[in-house]
Amino acid sequence: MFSEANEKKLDEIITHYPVKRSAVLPALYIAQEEHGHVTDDDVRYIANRLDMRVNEVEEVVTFYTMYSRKPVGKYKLQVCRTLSCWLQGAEQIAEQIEHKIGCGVGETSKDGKFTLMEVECLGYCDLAPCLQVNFDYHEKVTPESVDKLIDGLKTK
Amino acid sequence: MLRVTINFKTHEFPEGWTILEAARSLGLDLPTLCHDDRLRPCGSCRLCLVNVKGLSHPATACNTQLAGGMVIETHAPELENTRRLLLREMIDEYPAEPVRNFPEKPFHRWLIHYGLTNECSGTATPALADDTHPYIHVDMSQCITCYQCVRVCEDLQGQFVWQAMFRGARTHIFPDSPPGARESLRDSSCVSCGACVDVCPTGALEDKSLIERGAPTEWTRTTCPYCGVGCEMNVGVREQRIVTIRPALDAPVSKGHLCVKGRYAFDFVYAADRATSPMIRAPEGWKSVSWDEAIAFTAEKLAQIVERDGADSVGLLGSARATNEENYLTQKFARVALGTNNVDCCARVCHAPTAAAMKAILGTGAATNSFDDIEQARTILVCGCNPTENHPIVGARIKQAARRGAKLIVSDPRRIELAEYADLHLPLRPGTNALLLNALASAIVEEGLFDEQFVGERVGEWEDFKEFIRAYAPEQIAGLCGVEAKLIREAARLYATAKPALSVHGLGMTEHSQGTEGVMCLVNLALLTGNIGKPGAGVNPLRGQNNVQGSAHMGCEPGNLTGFVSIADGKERFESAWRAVLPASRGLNLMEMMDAAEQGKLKALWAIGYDILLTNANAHRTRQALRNLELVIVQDMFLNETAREFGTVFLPAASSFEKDGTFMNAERRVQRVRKVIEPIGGARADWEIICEIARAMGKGEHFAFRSAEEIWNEVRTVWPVGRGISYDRIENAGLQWPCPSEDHPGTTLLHAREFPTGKRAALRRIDYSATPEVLSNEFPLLLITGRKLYQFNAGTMTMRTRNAELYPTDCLDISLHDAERLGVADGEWVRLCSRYGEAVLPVRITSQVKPGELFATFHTTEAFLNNLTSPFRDQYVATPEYKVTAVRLEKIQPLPMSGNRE
Repeated sequence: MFSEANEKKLDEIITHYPVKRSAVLPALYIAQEEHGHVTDDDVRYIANRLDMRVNEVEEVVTFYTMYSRKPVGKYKLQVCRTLSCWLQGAEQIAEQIEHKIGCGVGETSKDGKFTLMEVECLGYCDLAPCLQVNFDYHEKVTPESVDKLIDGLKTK
Repeated sequence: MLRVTINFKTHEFPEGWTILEAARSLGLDLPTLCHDDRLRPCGSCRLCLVNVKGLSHPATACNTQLAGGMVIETHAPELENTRRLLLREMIDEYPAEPVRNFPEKPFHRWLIHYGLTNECSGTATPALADDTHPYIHVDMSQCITCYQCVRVCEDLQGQFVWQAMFRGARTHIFPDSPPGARESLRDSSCVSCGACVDVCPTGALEDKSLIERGAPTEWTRTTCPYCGVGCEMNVGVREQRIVTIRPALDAPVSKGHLCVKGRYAFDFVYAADRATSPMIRAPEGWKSVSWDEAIAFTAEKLAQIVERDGADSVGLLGSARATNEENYLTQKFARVALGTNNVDCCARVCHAPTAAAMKAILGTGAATNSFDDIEQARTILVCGCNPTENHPIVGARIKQAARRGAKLIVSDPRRIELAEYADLHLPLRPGTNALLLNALASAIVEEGLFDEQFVGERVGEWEDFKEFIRAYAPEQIAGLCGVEAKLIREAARLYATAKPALSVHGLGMTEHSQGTEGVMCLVNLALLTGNIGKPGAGVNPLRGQNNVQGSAHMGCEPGNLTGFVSIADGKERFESAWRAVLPASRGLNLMEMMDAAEQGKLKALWAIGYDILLTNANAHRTRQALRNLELVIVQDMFLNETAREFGTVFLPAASSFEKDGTFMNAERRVQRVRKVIEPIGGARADWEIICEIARAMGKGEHFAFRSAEEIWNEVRTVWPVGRGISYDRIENAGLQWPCPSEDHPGTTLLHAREFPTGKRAALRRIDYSATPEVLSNEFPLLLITGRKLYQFNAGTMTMRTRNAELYPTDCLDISLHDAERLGVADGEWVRLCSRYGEAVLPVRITSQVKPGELFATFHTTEAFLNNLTSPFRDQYVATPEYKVTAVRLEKIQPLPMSGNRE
C-alpha cells in the first residue's frame, strides 16, 4: 500500500498505458520513493495492482540497477565501471569513495547516508569517468572532486 | 516447394520451413542451444548461424524461413570459428565433471565436438543448488542461461515457475518464490511436469533418478498408464530398471509433454510391497502358492459355484488400467467360459452416464472430437472437470488456448485453476448441473441465439423443446443453482455466438443422482447451437483412466458386447464368431452386483485391477456385500483393500510396463502399450492369467492366444468399426475409430454429416430433480470429493512413488469463512461425519471452495473417504453420487497424530 497521494498518482499513471502492466516501472519508483527501497510487500502489492505475477515484478526489479530490493543509504553513489570510465580511472574513484564513506561496493555506510554501487555504462563516455548520485550525473570526476561532493552531501 | 541450395547442392523443401529444418532434414548437424521443436524459435544462442548469399551478416537458421533461390552455407570455417568462440564464452565458469559424466547432453556434445572440454574448469559457487524437490535436481553452476526452461514452463505447461533475475553476465535463473523467501523448487509453484528438465541442454536441471541410476541404455515407446488423455512416452531402461521417462516428441495427443504422474510416478513398479506371488487365503492368513495351484484352485472354485448356483451367481470386473485385449478377454470369459453377462468395469462409477447419454442422443457414446480441436475452438466450456490437475496435458493445452485468446467458460462449484484463466466462472451449487444447463439453453432459445439452420436440418423435437425450456429462464433458476442470471445469460451468449464452441466435461457432471440427464442437457446445448460435427466444436468427456473408454467398449458392460453393441442386437453375430451360446438377458452392473451380494444372490466376484472396497461409494454397504461372498478373486499388483479384507485368492498382475497391448484414450484413439521390462517376480499379464484359468476350466479352445496381438486381431473380427486398426498401422501413431478398413485413415470428428441413428438427433426435455441427499441441521455442509494432481484415484500406484511426498495425505479444503466459524486452523486434523460414516483428515484453508461447501480427496486408505459417501445412484446407469454428501465437521481432541502439527 502506498500513501493516498501516491495511490492517486499510480491510478493516474495506469491510465497512460493500454495495458496495466506497462506501469510497472513508475510503480516501482513510487514504491522506492515511499519506502526507500522496494520491499517484499511492494512487490506483492504491485503485482496485484497491475495483474502481474510476483516473479515478473521481481524480474523487472532485479534487471534495473536503479531499483533496490534492500535498504539503501540516502544517497546512492553509482560508479560507472564500463570501458571508457574504467580507462579514465573509475577504479580509483570507487576506491576513493570507499575510503571516504568507510564501506565497500554494494554496502551502505554506517551513518546510513551512502550506498556505493558499481554500474554498467551510464552513457557518458565522452565525459568519463562518470558518477551518478541518485538521479544526478557528475561528469569527469576526480578523487578530489568526489571528496568535495561527499563532504557537501554529508552536511545536507 | 522451394528450390534452395545448401552447401553447394540444390534441394527442394516445403514452403514454411526454416533453414534449420531444411538442414536437419539433410542430416546436417547444426548446433543449437536455445532451440526446441516445442518452442517458438528465438534465435538467441547464435550457434546456428549460417551464411546466406546476399546477406551482409550470417543468419540464425532456427528462425529464418527458407525462400526460393536461397544459397546457404552451414559449416564455413568462419562460422565454425564463431561457434567455438561463442561456446568458449559460455564455459567461463562451467565445471568439467558433468561433461565427463554425461557426454550425451547437447551442450556437452558440442563442447566435445569443438574440442573445448579441457577449458571447463569452473568451480564457482552456483547461484542455486537445490535438491528439495523429490524428482528434480537443480545445480545452476551448469546453467548457461539458454532460457529454454523459462520458455517451456510458460509456453508449454503455462506455469511460469522459472524466472530470470538480474541482467547481463550476472543473469541467474531461479524458481519463483514468495518475495524475500529463499528459492527452492519444492516450495515454488512448480507442478513437476519435468518439461524444463527435458529441454535443459546441460543437466543444470536433471531427473534425480537418472543421476542415481545412470543413463538409460535402451528406450521403449509406450502409452502412459494414468489418465485417459493417452500421452505417449519413451521409457529409459538400464539393466532391467526404469531410470527415466521422457515425453515422445511426436505423440499426437501429448506433443512432447507429460505431467508429473506419467513423467515421474513409475517407481510403484519396484515398491517393496509389490505382490509378486499368487496367494490363497488360509485360516491363518495369506499363503503363497505356485501359479499352478492358484489357477487350479480358482478354476475349481468357479466351476463349483457355477455348477451349484448358476453362472449368474458370479460377477467379473474388468480393469480400466488393463489393456483392450485383456478387457476383451475378461468379458469373453464371463460370457463364454461362465455363461453370464455379469461383467462390468469402473466406467460404472465414472463416465457410464456420459456413454449412455451420448449414445442415446447422438448414437455414439464417446467424445465427438479430438484433443486437437482444443486449439481450433473459439470458446471452450469446461464443465465439472478440473483438467489442470486431473488431465494435466489437456489442462495445459486449454490454458495455452486461453492465453492465445480463446474464450473460456468454467462451470464448477470450485474456483479451480482454469477459472483464473476464464472469461466467466459459473460457481454452481453441486448437484444442479441440469438446472444450470437448462437455464443456458433457455437463454439461447429465448434470445434467438440458436443455430436456425442446424436445428432445422439436424435436430429433432425442436418445437416441444422450445416450449418446455421456457420454464428454465435464468431469472427463475438463478436462486436454485446459485449462479446469477446475468452470468448465465452472458455464458449462453458466449457459447452460442463465439463459435466453434467445444465442451469438455468430467465427473462433476456424471457422479450425481441426475448424472446421465445432466450430460443430456449438455448435449442439448451443443445441438441447439450447432456446435457438433464441426472442428473445434462438440462434446468431449475427459475420461478418467488410461483405458476406461476401452474397457467398457471392449464389452466389460452387462448390457453391451464388444463395440458397445447391445446384447439384443449383437447376440447372434457374437455367437457365430465365438462359436458359443451366449446368455440372453442383461447382466448385473457393478452396483447391482453389490446389491446381489448383499442379498446373498451373488456368490463369487473376480476383480481385476480394481480396488472396489476403497473406491465404491458408501463403503459400509460395499463391506457388507463383500463379506457375503464365498469367493473373491483379486488380480492386482498390490494387496489392495479389497484383497486385504475379503480376498480368497490373489493373482499378482504385471504392470503395463511389463506387457504388450493397446489402450483406448478419451478421443477414441487406440495406441500401443509395449513391454519395457520383464514382469517383476512371478507377476503375469492379466490376459495370460485369464487364458490359464479358462484352460483349467476346459474352455481353452476359446482362449488359445499366444500374444496380445492375436487377441487384438480377434477383437477386429467382432468389432467392425475398429477392423482397420492393426498393430502394424499403430506402430508409430494411434488411430481413432471409426476405422472400418485398413485403408481408412481413422476418424477425428464424429457426426459431421449425420448421426449413426440418422440425420437428426432429438433434443431431450430433462426436468431437474434434486438429489435425495439433503443438508440438515445435523449435516449442514456439502462435501464434494475428487482428485489432486499428485495422486491418482485409489493411490495404489502414486502413493507408492515419491508423489506421496508432494501430496502426503488426503486433505479437506475449506473456505476461510467456515474455518473461522468452526474454529479450525490450517493443517488441523478434523473428523467429518455423514449419515453413513466418518473420516479423519487435515484441513487446508483455501479460496477455491465457497462457504458451506467442502472438497476432499479420496486417495488414501487412511482417510477412506468413501466411508462418508451416500448410497444414491444415477437412475439410468447406477453411477454413485460421489459429488454430493451432507456432512458435519467436528474438531478432534487430542490430535490423532503426535508431531509438530499446530
